[in-house]
Amino acid sequence: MHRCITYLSIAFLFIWAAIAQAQIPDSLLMVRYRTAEQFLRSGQYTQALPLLESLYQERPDVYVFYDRLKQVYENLKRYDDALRLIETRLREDAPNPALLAEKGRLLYLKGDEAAAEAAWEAAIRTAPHQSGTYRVVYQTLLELRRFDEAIQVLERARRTLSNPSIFLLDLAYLYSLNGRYEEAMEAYRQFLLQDPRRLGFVQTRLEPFMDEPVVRKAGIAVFERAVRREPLNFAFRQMLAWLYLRNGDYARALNVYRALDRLQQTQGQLLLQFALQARDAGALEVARTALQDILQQPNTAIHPEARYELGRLYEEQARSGDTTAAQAARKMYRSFLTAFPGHPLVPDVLYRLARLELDVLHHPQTADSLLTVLLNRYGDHETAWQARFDQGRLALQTGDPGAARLAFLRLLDRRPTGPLAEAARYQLALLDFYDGAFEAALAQLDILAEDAASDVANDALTLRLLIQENRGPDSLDTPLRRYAYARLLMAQHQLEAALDTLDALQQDAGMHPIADEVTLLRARLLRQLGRLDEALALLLEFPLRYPSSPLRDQSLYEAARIQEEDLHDRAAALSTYTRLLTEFPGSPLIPEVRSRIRTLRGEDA
Amino acid sequence: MRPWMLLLGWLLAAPGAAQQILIPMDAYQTDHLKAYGVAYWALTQGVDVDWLLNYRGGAFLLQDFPGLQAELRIRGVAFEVIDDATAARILADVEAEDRNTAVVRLEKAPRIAVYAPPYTQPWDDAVLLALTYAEVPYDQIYDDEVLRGELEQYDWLHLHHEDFTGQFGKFIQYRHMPWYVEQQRQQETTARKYGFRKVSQLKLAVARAIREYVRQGGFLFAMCSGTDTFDIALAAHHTDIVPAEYDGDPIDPDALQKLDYSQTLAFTNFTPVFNPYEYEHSDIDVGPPPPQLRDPALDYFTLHEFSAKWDPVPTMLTQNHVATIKGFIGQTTAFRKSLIKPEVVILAEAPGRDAVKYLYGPFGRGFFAFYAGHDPEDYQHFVGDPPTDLSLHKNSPGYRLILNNILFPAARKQKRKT
Repeated sequence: MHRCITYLSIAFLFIWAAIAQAQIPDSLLMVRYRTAEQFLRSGQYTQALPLLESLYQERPDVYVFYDRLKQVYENLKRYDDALRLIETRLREDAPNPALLAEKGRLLYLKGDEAAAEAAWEAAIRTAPHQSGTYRVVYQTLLELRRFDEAIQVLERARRTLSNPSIFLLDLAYLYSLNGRYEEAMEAYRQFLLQDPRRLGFVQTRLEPFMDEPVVRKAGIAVFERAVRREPLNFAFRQMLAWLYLRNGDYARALNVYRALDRLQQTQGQLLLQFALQARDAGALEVARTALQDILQQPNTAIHPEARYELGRLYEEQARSGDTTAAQAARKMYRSFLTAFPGHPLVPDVLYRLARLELDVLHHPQTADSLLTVLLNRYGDHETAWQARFDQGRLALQTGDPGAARLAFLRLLDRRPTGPLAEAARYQLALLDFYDGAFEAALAQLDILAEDAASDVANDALTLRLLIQENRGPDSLDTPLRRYAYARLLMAQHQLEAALDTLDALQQDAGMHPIADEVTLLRARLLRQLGRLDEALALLLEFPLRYPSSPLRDQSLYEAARIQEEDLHDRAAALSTYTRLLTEFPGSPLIPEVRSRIRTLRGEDA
Repeated sequence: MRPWMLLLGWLLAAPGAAQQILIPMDAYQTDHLKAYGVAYWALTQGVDVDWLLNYRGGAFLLQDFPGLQAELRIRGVAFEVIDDATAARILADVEAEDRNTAVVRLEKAPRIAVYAPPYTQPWDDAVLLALTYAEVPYDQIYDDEVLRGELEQYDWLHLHHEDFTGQFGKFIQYRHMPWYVEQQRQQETTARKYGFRKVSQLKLAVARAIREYVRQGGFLFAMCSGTDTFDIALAAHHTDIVPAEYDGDPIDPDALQKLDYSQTLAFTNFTPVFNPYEYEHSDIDVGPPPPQLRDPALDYFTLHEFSAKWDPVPTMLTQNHVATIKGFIGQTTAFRKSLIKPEVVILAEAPGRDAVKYLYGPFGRGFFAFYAGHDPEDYQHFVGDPPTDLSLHKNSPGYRLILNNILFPAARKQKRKT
């Protein structure tokens, strides 16, 4: 019994001693490890090395000692030592893909590419039926930027595991990193095939690459094929439409949207969104076609919006001189008003139609009745303010300056500030000018010129200068009055009458300072009337007739524009522009003239 | 050469000439930058151009010929038509011994190469912007052309914000951006194509080829990080200074000891920056001005003045209509004076600061000029910023310093300071 107690006591003492022996060095190890860590953090690998080597020697089983020592060896480019650590671990443990992949990495850094590839191959063979094996090898290859090999590993994984859905996004990423965009797109296509709800995710991932034409081209090729193969797949079509839009190919995008609209039965909604997008991007023809498509659908709730937008498109074209488009816009707006009299867009349509009649079709009576309807029915609507302004313009055009003045004054009274008020004030100044009330006009123009940032400031300054420089010689300012009258006739679209007035004034003006202004205005009227040769002759002889006029450069510039744009006489235009450049080197028109010359010479302007 | 001899020679060279064209480069010039383009264009037409150093801001004088005046007008360059006698008087004045002026005859349009990747846009690079605006033709070359030995076809080579250390400009914060991904991929592909495992090795080979080009008589002009990274790469030819974040393996622990400054052109005793996240390559760059001076209105540098007759090269490189030029920041903003080799000539520096902006030096039979900063008319240019519109900076003194360089190789051999 005593012996038994003695043995037990001795055994206890041994165990206690062993535990104590283990615990005390552990705390000491930790102190040394912390010191080594500090060296590591400050990049002092040489100082950290002996500490970590001793730590690893004493406790090779502690992973962190092994890992830090390997890290130090690597940072000191002692790859053989780092590899020795891994080999030791590989001998002690079962074959481990992570360790083998790491071995391959170190071999690669050492420069032994063949051995590195063998290590990666060995890593895969340890567990070829587990996706994690491939992942660990592929990530090592990715870290080393060995994209081709990483792709091969993932493709092998998909074959071996017979799982076509695995690693799709990883592959797509790798392909795009490697510039293999078509294959990247194909991976995304397969991904979308499995989960069409992730379309937005795919588009977000591709977005940064969309500035590259080669990426867009690759995407279009892949998804065009995909749509041909699976025409009922919405995600593919949406992706294709998105790619077309990003590529600026609106005509093809329209075809895809048509199909999507049909397949998803959105009753034109998708087409409308697309049409607005195309319009904003300047693809007007495509936008118009899309809107016309909507109007051909019998039971869609967005007919009013489509009709309104189509009217706006035609109106935009009409404003650049297309008379057919003007008629089409009028027809569209009128049909809107007839078909949807209670729609919230009616005030806007009324206003747009009135502007079209007034400015493009020159039907002031029709415009007047439309504006009246707008003001009577929708007096509080925002467009009504614009309508009040246009009533003034309309009254002027129809020969009732008194009514025009009243309209502008009322507008100013009710809305005294803002761009519309400034426009109204400028119109009042013009009315005074037409009327020969030059002092009153100057008073209005002085107010407008104070705010140089306003839209009408430049016009106001020009008119003020015209009045100031061309008064006299009599107290009634007769020549300027007659000139102002011609301008009034022009505002009322009485071009022939305006020309007659200017012709008469030209004969009487003699040496009056307004003579050059009269000639220039005559030339412009002749151009508007299509009498190009007369206009050109007048402009070309202008500098000789008025050798001290500040408008000489302007006259040559306008002559050159006629030669270039109306007569398409490139050589003559070049000659006139060059003459301007030579004779008036200080003209503010010079930058534009240089640009025109370069364009005509076929150079970059 | 005595003034009367020059005058006689000049008159004999232009028999029966009716008139001369003087392109002033002082405050009367309407477009200084395009004026260089016209001078270059005249050389391409086979007409010699006299560069009147320190005369009216570095004016150009040339024989009138059909189309010249029209071209000057179209390009918006101010000029004066003078008769032969006036031209002769000007030349005599410029060559007078008591004046710090000189005539340099430009005889041949230099062949210009710009070292930039194919995906570079003109607005990425101040020199491309200047050449494009001034309508001076150039070839864009890159690693392939340099390694194929095509440099010898050119008289003048320009480098801009290239990173010759192989750290992709240290733009690691943009590593997920498509342009960065593409740039890295293309450079790695090129490196492999030429048998290099790392981009730093490829760039070193390119830097060495360029160095050799200069040694053989070429002219190198570099800006921004194309200056210091060029020398850093050459100094590190025996070691690895690239952190693992850029090339996959760590820097050489003995990198500092292994730097070989005998290989560099302009700088010595510098220390590379090993932190991959620090947007700086070495201590060569003094960085932006201190915060109290980091203001376009306060930041400026001054040009040194040289003897036009005895030091024509630095005089040509510093021709300008002003002596003080506004500063501008770049990845390399200004060079630390203490790290510049003694044989290098300082052309411009920020007064009161250890910041050299512009320097030049001979190397072998050639020359190099390094100009710090990114864009002389964009104080602080960021990635993605819109390009500078040079039509708004037609008289930019900072851009003039770039364009002085392109005409320098056109000059007939000059006498050198002894």
